Amino acid sequence: MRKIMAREIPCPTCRQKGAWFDTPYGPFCSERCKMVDLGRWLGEEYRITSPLTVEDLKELSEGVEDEEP
Amino acid sequence: MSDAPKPETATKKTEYNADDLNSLKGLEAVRKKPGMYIGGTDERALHHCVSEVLDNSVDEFLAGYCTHIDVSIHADGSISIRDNGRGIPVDINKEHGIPGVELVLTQLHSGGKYGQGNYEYSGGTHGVGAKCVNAVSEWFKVEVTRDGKIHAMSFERGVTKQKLHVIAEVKNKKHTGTLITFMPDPEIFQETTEFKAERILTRLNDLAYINAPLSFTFIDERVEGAKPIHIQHPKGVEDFVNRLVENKTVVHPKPILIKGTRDRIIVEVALHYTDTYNEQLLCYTNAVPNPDGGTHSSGFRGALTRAINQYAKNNSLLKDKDPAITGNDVLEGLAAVVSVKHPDPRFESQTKVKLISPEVDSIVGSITYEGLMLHFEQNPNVAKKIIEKCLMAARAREAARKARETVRKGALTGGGLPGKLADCSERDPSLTELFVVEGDSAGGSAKQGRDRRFQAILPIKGKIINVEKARLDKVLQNAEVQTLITAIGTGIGTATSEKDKEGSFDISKLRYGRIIIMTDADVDGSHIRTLLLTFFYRQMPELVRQGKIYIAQPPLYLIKRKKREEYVEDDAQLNKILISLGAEEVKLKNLADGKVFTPAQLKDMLETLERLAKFSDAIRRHGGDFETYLSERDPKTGMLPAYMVKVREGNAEWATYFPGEAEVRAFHEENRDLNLFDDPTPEGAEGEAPEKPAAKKDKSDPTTRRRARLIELHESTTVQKLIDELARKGLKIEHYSDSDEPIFELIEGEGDKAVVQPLFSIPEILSKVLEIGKRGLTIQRFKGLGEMNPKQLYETTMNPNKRKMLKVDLNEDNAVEADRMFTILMGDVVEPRRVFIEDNALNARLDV
Repeated sequence: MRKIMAREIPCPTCRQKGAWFDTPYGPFCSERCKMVDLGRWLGEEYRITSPLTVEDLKELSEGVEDEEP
Repeated sequence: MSDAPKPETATKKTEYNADDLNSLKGLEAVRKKPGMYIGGTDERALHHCVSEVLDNSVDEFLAGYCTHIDVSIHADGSISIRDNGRGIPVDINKEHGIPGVELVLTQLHSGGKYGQGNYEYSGGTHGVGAKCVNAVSEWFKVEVTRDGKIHAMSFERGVTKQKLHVIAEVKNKKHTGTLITFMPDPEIFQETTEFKAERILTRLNDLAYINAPLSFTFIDERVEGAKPIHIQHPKGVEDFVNRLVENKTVVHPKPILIKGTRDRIIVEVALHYTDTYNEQLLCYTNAVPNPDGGTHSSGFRGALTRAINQYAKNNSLLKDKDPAITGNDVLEGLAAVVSVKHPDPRFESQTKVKLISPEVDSIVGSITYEGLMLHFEQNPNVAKKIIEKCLMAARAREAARKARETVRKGALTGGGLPGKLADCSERDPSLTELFVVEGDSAGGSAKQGRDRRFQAILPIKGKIINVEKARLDKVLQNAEVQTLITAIGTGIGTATSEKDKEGSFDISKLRYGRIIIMTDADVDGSHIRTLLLTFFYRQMPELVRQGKIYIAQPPLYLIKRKKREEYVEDDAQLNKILISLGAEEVKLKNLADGKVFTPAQLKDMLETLERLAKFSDAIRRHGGDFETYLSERDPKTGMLPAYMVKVREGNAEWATYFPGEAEVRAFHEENRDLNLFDDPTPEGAEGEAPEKPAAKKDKSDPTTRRRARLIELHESTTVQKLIDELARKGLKIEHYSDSDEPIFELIEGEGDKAVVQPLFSIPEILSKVLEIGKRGLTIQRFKGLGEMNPKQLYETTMNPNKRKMLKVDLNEDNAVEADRMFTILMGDVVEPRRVFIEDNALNARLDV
């Protein structure tokens, strides 16, 4: 359901809430915050960290296996 | 005239007589060249006249005599300034033979501010002030209260009209002061002679801030019923900064205040950081604003930068990869007032917009630096917050620089396309596609398999940062991000100046009509996909908004049966195949009526069961139990519950089902502590307002605290239909749960060789048939795109006539969710992260 009123979303960098979505810098509150985010991309700061699961290890060692649907 | 240098030591003279006043003759020069003396003939110059007169009164405050100044704009448009200072000397100046007051108001370059030390700190321009105002006034009156008498004198256009005379006596001899009233001359001020109350109020406020506790009263008598406005800011520059940060979010709770005196120069600094990005640095010399700054401004800024960097270094608050904090970075979000009182300031021009006294730089610098370091040492949290704020500014600056450099670099390498990109021959972007492919081997297959006329391939590799303590860190390398930006061609960011336009985002430069993310169907693949999608969503949202971003859907399984191979896109399709294979092998007999389903009937019924199974999963995900849910079905109407309430009490959890909202409301009334609805408490209901988290108020006893969640079961309508459908096929919903007696028989094979399996519940039918369908099959789950040869990859995933893709759809409703999910992925919360990965990154919808 689309709302007519612009919704408040947190700026991904500074978390400040506001109707940023449709602004020129959306979803950021400002050019500054957008640039900080870009800097983090270019600075390789965005890392997805995940613990190695048993499945990961299985996959690594077996390679091919039958799956239960 | 004497131009004797000022005495080195400040000795306040007790006498202030006409002998102290020196002069230069003639006000005609001022009227001829007003620009030279008051900076023009416009509105600004008009108000400058008020400042000149005010400055003289403020000088009396600085000298330690005046405490209050009255300013009135009169109904006729004239203005008066009254102070309670010593009063301009009225005795006869020995050298000139005229009263001191006449001397200072008529003779250029005369006044108490040339030598003799009557004023240590003075805002008035040496001797030019009041007499210039006199020169450009249609009329000008002065009243001096001094020695128990009120002396008056008046002028017209700088020419004495009435010689100094006594108009009254005052009882209290200690009562002193000066009142100046003047009417600006329209011959000079041809633009306007109308004083603006706002402008004057601003000036009075400035003066009150810089010269606390000096107070002012202002009244604009042109306005009917106007009341006097009292202006006083007892805390001075601290109050000033407080006003500057009003309605803004501050980075640290209190302003930082620094005071110090060196070489007779008094320095006062107040500063506060806000979360905004603009700077407000206001500099004053002897209470006169210097909008162009000068040596006090540069001294302050340099010290601020040094102190922040030094403290950060001393306390290891900067990481190796952090950019250096520059002078510009420390200004972001800064609100500061720097006020210096200087016995002999030098300005760049008559209008005092810029201070040029060279010694001020190091004096303000050292006082500010020492004050800041002390404050930082005593308030490490404040220091940390300020440094974080500055670092953010530095990163932003660094990022903008890097981004511009990236784009420039791209432009330099002629055509600018990265070497890794295998471009297509078609140049019309509406016809082309860019596949962003994870991994070099898959990239290689894609390059070979693609239709090179319109499909371009960009292999991208997620770098594994470390594999230690069983952790995997995935990151998009800087080079990968740059390559991506260059290949897409739109540039990035918003141009802040004409110069930056070259690299800023421009969708008309988009080189491909579709950007298709093609990653493995494993965890690594989903990580890379999430990184890429988040990057697009944040840095190139326009591409997402315009539906340019897609996710390729490579097959999930390869099934082999004897020599035949088939690609299967997902679990749903796999089950469909298994059902049709299984159904061919078996017959199902309903023991209730002895009827045997035909293979077509069986297949149809199994597919209905398969759909029902999905909904049973949904109910389970809500935290309910499908069998209980079914048992809550109204036996008369056959309606399923529309609501479920899940209650958690200590470690126990239970669910209750309700046919409609009315029943939930009734339940709510009996269990108000669960706060199922946000409605206000009716009067008398325990007298407590309900709070949203169910039992916040029961903090005292957490063991009895109950939490509840109300879930609307939208699934019920469809489940209802499926149950009706099954009923028509002879399957009673009562048999969904295990029975004691077998309900069905599954018969495999013919005649004597037939194997009969009794079945005790409906779900068993599906699971058994799937089991049978799987026999003799090899089901291979694809781990990576690289497991397909180039031709297979093209046929299954890239061929526009056969492939399926997800179009990434984004609006503000799911923007919040997407952002939250990315945050979860970056964090350490494991469970929601896995759910997110399983549910597929961002909200994507099916595209055919």
